Amino acid sequence: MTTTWRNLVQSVAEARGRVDDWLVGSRHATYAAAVCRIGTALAVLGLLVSNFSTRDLWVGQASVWAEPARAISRFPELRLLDGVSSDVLAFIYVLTMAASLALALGWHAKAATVVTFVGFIAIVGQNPVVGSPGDNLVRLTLLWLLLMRSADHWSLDALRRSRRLAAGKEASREEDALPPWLSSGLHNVGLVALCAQTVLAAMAAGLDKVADRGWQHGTALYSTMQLPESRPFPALSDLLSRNEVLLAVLTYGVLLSQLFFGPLLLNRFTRRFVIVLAVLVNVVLAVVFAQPWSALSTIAVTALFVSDETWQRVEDVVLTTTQPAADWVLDRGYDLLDVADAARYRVLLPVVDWVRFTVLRR
Amino acid sequence: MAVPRPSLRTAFIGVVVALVGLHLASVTLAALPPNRYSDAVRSQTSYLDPYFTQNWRLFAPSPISEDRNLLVQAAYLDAGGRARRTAWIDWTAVELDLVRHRLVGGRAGYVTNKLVSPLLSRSEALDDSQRIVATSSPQADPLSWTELAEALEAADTPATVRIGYLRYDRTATRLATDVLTARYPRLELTAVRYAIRRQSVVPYAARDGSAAERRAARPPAVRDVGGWRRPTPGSPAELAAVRDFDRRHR
Repeated sequence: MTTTWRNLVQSVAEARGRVDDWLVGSRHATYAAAVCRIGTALAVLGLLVSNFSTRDLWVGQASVWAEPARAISRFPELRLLDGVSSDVLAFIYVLTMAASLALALGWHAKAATVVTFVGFIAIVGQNPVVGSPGDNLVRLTLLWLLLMRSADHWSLDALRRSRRLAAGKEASREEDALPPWLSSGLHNVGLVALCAQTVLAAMAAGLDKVADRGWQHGTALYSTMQLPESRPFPALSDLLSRNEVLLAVLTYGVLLSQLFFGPLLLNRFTRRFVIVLAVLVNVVLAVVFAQPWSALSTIAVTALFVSDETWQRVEDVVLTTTQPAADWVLDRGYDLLDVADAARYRVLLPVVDWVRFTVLRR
Repeated sequence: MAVPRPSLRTAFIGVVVALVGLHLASVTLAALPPNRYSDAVRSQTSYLDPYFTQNWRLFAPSPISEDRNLLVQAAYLDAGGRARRTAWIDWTAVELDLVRHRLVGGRAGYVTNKLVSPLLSRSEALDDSQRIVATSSPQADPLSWTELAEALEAADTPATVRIGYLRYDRTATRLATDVLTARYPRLELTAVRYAIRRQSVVPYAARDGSAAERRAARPPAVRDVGGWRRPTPGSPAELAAVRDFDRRHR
């Protein structure tokens, strides 16, 4: 009895130790988090840029028809743009675009995440009538990214950090505000929650579909492709909807990639299959229904399930193949700097000297 | 023997594991299609609203299978003082220009398209006699909003139904006024109204036919015409935005 008890205590202690090590020992999936940050930020930026010219109608003073739906929305961020002028809307709009660009580049990523999160809700939430499920995904991704360290790789923050370390300075004051174990712990918690959320998203969407008669009969995608707002390219929609095989492949692709997304992630080989399938399905739907930003935000969270080893291999391949081009661009950059320097010495400085010695002396 | 851990870390891990576990359980219940178990814990999962709200339906649970257009029309007096009507303007078709042949369209391209569903559901909440009240407002002297509200109240329209209907009806009327003012800036509008046009898509079985055959296979369109309303213009900025959009996309 005592031995059993001791074994049990030991197993619990070991399990706790493993949880402890995993949770606060080191940060996981930092490359995947970087891909997710970049994809989500580009989805926000793309959405805002593509709606910039019609912002007054979409979310501004002329979005009168969104008022009833807006009135029951509970996001406090909506007050930021409540009844504001076009100029204030333009300011917050541009600020959010700048923040999402900074987030994509990984420039002060944590602050950029906060501004993008608040700005995104404030803007997109103004018009729930035309909101898309992708908006929910972006909101939740940004929310969990607040906890995560998404700029450890492929970011200007990482570049700055490595330069500071090379110069013997501390890495970064803002990023080292928390003790390393807490920072890693929060990152890993955000990662687990975001991954769980993504799996649930796919599963819920899949369950909804199989419960629907249109999907059961295989006509759901067909019907959607016939709606004027969902057939930006009528010839493409007709091509797909007339071809029963293509329609079946796409329908099963959507259902498989959503309903079985979670279970298929459990095995290494099926994980690759379902990730590729999910990305392909999203790319096709992005084109057929002209929903590129919603699809990009889904692809961004799908990227979380690709291992860091794979992302590192991708990095190696990209660096190797783009090295000559990057070198060429850098060389031309230096040439440009040389030209600018020469112009400074030959034109600017003589003019400055002339002004100093002839005009100012008088 | 497990290595003793600092107490703060242990507390953090314990709290975090418990919180994340509970949160993921709540999210799971909220994400699954509504059922008696998720209904039973609705008050416990209400904290998810609004930041953790989940609406994952990539397409509506029952995909819409009909075109929905919002059309608007105005009445005005001509130079001789005779009552005239403008042609119907299909504003949804104007908006759709922002979607057609564009991989990266704009969300302003399908606002009224999406507005039609809630507008229709508010209108369908009225019974026959109440709907007659709502749609019989005369062209020559439309009811004011107060008069319309009182008329609906006199027809025993429940307050929630009345408020919901008037809110959407007024919104659509304001949009109609903006659109018609933008399109006919020189006319002095005396009344405006809107109509909802619905038509089911080409049936699946008829998808292989020629364009004409497919058109013929579609069930006839249904048009619900609203009552005349007093012109209800928005702010100058709102009008300018609508005018600008109309000029670029009509």
